[in-house]
Amino acid sequence: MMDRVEKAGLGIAIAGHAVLFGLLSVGFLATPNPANLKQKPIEVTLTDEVALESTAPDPISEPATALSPEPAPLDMPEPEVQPAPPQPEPLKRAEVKPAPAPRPAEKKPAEKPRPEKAAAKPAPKAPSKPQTTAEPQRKSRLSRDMLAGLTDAPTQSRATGTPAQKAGPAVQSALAAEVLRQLKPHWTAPTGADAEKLQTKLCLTVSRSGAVTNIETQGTTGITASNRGLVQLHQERAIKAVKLASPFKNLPPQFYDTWKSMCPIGFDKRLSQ
Amino acid sequence: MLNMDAATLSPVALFMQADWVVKGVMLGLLLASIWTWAIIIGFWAKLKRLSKGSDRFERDFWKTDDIDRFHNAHVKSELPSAKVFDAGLTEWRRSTGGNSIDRDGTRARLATAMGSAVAHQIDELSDRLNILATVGAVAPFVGLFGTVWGIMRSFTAIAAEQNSSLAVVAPGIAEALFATAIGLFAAIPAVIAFNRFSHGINRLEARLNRFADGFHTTLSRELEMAG
Repeated sequence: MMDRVEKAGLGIAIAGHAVLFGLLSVGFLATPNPANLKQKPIEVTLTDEVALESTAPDPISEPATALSPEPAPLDMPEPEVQPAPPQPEPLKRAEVKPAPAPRPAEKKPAEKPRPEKAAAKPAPKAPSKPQTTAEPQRKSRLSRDMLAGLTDAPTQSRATGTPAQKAGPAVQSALAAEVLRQLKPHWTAPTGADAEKLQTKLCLTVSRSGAVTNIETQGTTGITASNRGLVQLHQERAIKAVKLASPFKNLPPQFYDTWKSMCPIGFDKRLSQ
Repeated sequence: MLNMDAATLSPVALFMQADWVVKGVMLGLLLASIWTWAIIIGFWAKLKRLSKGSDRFERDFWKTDDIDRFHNAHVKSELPSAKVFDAGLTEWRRSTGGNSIDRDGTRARLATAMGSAVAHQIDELSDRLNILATVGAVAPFVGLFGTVWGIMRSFTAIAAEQNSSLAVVAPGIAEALFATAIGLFAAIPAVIAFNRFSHGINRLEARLNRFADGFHTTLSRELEMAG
């Protein structure tokens, strides 16, 4: 079927294809690797000084309710408590007026019953008082403490401690820089082929004192065939760096909400430089 | 160093990552490409050899005085011109071997014999051309089939991984497009070669017909003089 010329042609064709595919296999026409840039890229963090949300709202001072635990309408005060009748007026003012003013809108449903109760409570008192004044033997069970709480003076908030401020981007980036600065002396990136491509991400939970209470590995990126063996070491060194740097110092307590959980922190070659 | 990274243009890596359907398409197209090139090289060499040989043969033929000796010298020749010449001379000897010579019949038989010899030579020669035509017409479609299949598979992978990032999609699409690349790689030379060789065959046929006509004229003149 095939003569000599055709056999020769087949041989040449096979050889030619083999050569072509060999050339392509060794990257003869390969596109240049885009990762090999002439200038190493530098990381730029954009921080807006005047951010949409750069300051925290003022802590809410919640006024204490002026209810005594056991109001008893039966007992009446001694004659020195005679000026009691005008008392309900300032009482109502003190209770009802400040209620809507400092309260944020979202707390309304919870607060609603209270003014009603407060308003309801003195209501029976008011009519009872003129009656009881006629009977001086009945003592008021309204304590002095309660009456003291019904003044115009600003009331004490029941919330303990100051709520943490919400940090704006400027504060956040300053905090991040501070944490990285403290991590840097303890972090040594492993060396090896393609080791600079590795980046291990950790998530830290920090207590108020700055001590790291929990370290969570979020995985390592940039793994190639040649640096696969270094991944374990990379993660171990990252965790070691955190443990050595703990506890973090100089972190402002008012921003504890911001730095109590740091996630993710990337450990790579650049951090150690 | 064999680069197995899909980011390069390594055909081996692209082939190894492909689906078995795409692999089959790629293998088939690769074989088609090899077969096409084998035919192209073989045909080109053969056509060139026959063309040159026919040139020399015809030049020698018109120069020679003794046709019988010339025939004996070239009876083993594989050249189409020699075959046509052999068919014509054999018919001439048969027709003029008897006692009575039918001139018109001899002329007709000579023409038929040489015409069929030309047709036979051209048929034999153009036997492989249909493969080139088939590869040229079908290979792009086969490659396209592999590509469509591979891209369908890529999209299924996107759906499965819930991730449409380019890194997930790109290798599958690259390997799928590689099928079309091989298809075009096989088809383009096949189409070019088919057109080129068809033209060559047509020219050869025309030259053989001219030679046959010339020989026929000569024999016809001989026939007249013999009578």
